[in-house]
Amino acid sequence: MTPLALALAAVLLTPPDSPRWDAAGQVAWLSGTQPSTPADFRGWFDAATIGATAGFYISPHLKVEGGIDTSTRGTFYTTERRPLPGSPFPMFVSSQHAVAVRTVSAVAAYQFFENTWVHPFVSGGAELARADDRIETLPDPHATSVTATTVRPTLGGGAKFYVSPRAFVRTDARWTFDRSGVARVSWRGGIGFDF
Amino acid sequence: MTHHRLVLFVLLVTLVSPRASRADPLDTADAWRSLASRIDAGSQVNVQLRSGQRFRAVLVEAEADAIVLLPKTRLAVPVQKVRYEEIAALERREAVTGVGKTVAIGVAAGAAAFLGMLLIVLGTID
Repeated sequence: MTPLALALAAVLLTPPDSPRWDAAGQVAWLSGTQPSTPADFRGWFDAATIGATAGFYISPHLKVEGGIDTSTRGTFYTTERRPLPGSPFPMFVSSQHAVAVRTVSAVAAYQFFENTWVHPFVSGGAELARADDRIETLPDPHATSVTATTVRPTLGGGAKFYVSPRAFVRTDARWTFDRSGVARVSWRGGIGFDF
Repeated sequence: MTHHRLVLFVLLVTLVSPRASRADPLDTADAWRSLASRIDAGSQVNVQLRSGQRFRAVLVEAEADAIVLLPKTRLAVPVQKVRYEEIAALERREAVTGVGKTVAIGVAAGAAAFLGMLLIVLGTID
């Protein structure tokens, strides 16, 4: 056998008619902040999300995936220093933010192993997020609502655990970044199937 | 014999003598053929090919020029022949005991339940 033939020798580990699509529904714990909010102190909010993903396998290891998620409203607080007219000392304005986030994401995922029962994966892509921020400011309570739409890079990693040849339990973590660092973290878990 | 002549003699003997201390290289294909013929049909084996591909399989038959394997995969794939020349490593897998498998499943189920509860609790925290 020639060296070329040896180099090309491979055992078929994925059947030619294997499913190319997968879909999953999932819930997640989302922790995030609103970096665009002007503040001297800015907290993080926690919320539950529900969402779905659908992916297409370009090869046994490479997949493109789209997803949508919507969250409950999570609260965080900001404190802002403002000058007080006629006083040498500033006043501190505290605001309560109640944020709900809806996202649409597109990522490319690399899946380790081939046609096994457990598939770890890493992913990277972009996330379009629409955050509705309901703000109540103290000491003069008045509610305003600010909606911001952002596009941010996202990285993630997790694993698919198959419970049958085509059905799986999936869990992953995903980080979304802005210029100041991590803007949101979500830890997702759900079930899905290949088709 | 002076000291220098003794050193020269030892060097010459070392250089011209056959390398008797080294093991003779065997034909690896013959070695894998010999090993495969000693593994019972139905045994699970770990295989690494010279192409770098690694997989787990059930040994179906050891033929003269190739080993017949059924790869252990999630979605079934056909039984395939692998020529001995293509094999870089072949070893029989020890069977996992029922107790070990049960413990592994229990740990995995417990971890999954814990993560699920944690997600629910964290999601309800305001």
